[in-house]
Amino acid sequence: MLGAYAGKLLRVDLTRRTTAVESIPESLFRKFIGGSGLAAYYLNEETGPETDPLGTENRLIISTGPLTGPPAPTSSRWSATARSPLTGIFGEAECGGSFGPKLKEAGYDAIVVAGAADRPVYLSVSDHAVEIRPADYLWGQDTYATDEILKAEALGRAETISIGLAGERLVRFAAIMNDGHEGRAAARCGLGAVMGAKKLKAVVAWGSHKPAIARRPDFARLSKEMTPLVLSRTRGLQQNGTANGVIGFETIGDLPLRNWTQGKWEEGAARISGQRMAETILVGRYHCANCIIGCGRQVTIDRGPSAGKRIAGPEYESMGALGANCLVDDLVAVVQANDACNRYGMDVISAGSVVAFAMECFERGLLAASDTYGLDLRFGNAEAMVELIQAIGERRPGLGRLLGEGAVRAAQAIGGGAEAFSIHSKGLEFPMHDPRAHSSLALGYATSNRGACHLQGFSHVFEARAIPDDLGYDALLDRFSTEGKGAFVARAQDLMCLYDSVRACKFYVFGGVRAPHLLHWLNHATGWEMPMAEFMQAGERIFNLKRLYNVRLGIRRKDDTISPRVLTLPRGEGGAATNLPDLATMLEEYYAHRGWDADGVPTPEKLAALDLARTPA
Amino acid sequence: MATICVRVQLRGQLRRYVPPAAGGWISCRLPAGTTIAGLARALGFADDEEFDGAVGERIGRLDDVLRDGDEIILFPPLAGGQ
Repeated sequence: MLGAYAGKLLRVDLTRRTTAVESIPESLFRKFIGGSGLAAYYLNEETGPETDPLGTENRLIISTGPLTGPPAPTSSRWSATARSPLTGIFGEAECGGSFGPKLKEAGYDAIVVAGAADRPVYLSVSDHAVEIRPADYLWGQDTYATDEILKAEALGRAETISIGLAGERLVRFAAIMNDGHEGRAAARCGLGAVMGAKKLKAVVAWGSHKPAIARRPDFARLSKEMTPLVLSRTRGLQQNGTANGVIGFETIGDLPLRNWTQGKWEEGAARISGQRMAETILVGRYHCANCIIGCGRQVTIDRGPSAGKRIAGPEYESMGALGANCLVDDLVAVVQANDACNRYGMDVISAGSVVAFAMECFERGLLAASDTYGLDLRFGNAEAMVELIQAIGERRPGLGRLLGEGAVRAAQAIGGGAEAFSIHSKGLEFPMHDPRAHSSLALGYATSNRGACHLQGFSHVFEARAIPDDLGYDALLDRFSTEGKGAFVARAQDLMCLYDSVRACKFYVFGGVRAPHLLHWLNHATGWEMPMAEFMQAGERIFNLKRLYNVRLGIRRKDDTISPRVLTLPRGEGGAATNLPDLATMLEEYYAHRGWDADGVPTPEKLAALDLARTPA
Repeated sequence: MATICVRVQLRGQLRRYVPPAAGGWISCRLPAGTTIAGLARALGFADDEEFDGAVGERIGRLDDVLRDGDEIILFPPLAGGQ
């Protein structure tokens, strides 16, 4: 073992029903760190333009990082990576929960799944054996039941990841779920459908390997030093979860409303806030494994299939996508829909976004009641929103099935100008942060390697909350300005690649953790003496590798854009009433900073500097 | 002593500190040089109350000095805490 790395990759071929173990050379970890970076390497080497995302040649890569498992304050995280069936490009999703450390304890840094089984199976991974087991009895079960059954069969020793009906039935934004009714999700990009296409219902992992931390006293000392700081600066998350921010984000004009067409919704936002949740239905908090923050919520509601049970409470994105963007201010309805997304295994952001899209189509007369199962799909109809989420998860014939194809394909099928209401970049529906409130997000969404994503740059946080001093800035950036944002977003993206590859939670940023801390943890965990320049360059390398993959798939400058609605339509009122981001100017500066040519392709000089090859070996 | 006059709105549970005024805005006269944090203290915020503030459309820091005529909204933290 290499310190906190297991040094091993598990290869699974579901067509041939074979498994094999490979060593991962230290040089690969040094270049790509782990987690997201390691997965990007294997995806780029083993798939390409000819790979059907739902075909046997796609790879599903489950990966951990050097900080998955060791006793750092948020060391639970893992990644899922594949060519996305929703966007057709690089797809990845990140998750906390409890599975990541268990995969490490089983003795693996990553799993690469190829092929497809002829019947449903699940993968059992322990430090004693790897088995591909029949899963016919699990097929059709929701993710709560699947998790419960498999954990019981493993005598409580294991953690699981699984898909629900949405993944089985190939909803293009199906998620991979973890931790049963706690609802932790590797949600974006439809990787649950990749599992479904492979007839892989679940992965179960357990073992007894403990991370062999190279410099354990130094590692522990840093963790002890940072813990009180992280705790003291994340109290809002601890008390009210990520939905703590609903009121504030509405105040500053960041919360999307009415499919991105409305500027203000003060009372509605208050009704679906984390504070309201705490006052009414909250019954507990959830911590991912090894996490000291505990931003997860546990709630109990009185209606729906989970009535009376302790289930996951909505995150900020859920409140935004299922609530605000649909103008639904019924907190219990948002919980119901969130619960449905968790049971079926669906990305809440995409699911809520296609509902908002459908609501606009309905109000504009592009959909009639005969198209919507008789539902009155006007904005604000909570019951209709919940019913439609269920129809999508089940892949109900008609509108449910159509919306399960994602906003872009649904808009193409509906026609009549519906493309204007599908709000996305590269086919991935926007998360619940408005580029009109944070101009940097326009560039971040346009250039994120998986499509519209706020986490891949996290730039809005540096414009509102945390000074990015580890990126060379000494003040919060002006959220409306354009100047310098090209370079800023690029640096932020490279840093977030490091977070996703060492596998640390980005809420560290609120807790005062900076790049030097991540590097110290990495060096103590591995025994390396990696200098800061090499570490930061690794982040840049990982971002460019993902871009290279997308370039191989045909992505160019023409694709680095976002839906015109948020570039041309001001919010009109509220905390960001008039701002429209100047994407063109920011993109020009971005390409120059990145060392890409005018078409958004990394130049040979840039690739040489990063020790990347233009095409896979 | 020089003073400034500002208007402030409170959002979410912060409203418990001051009863809502007409239109939701409260007018305050404060010593010149008062910061956002000082405004919160003047409104009776508990020492451990966590909040963020926007001055007009600008997201402020708690040590930002307020100016005469500023309109400030104080709201629960965007994320994390302070």
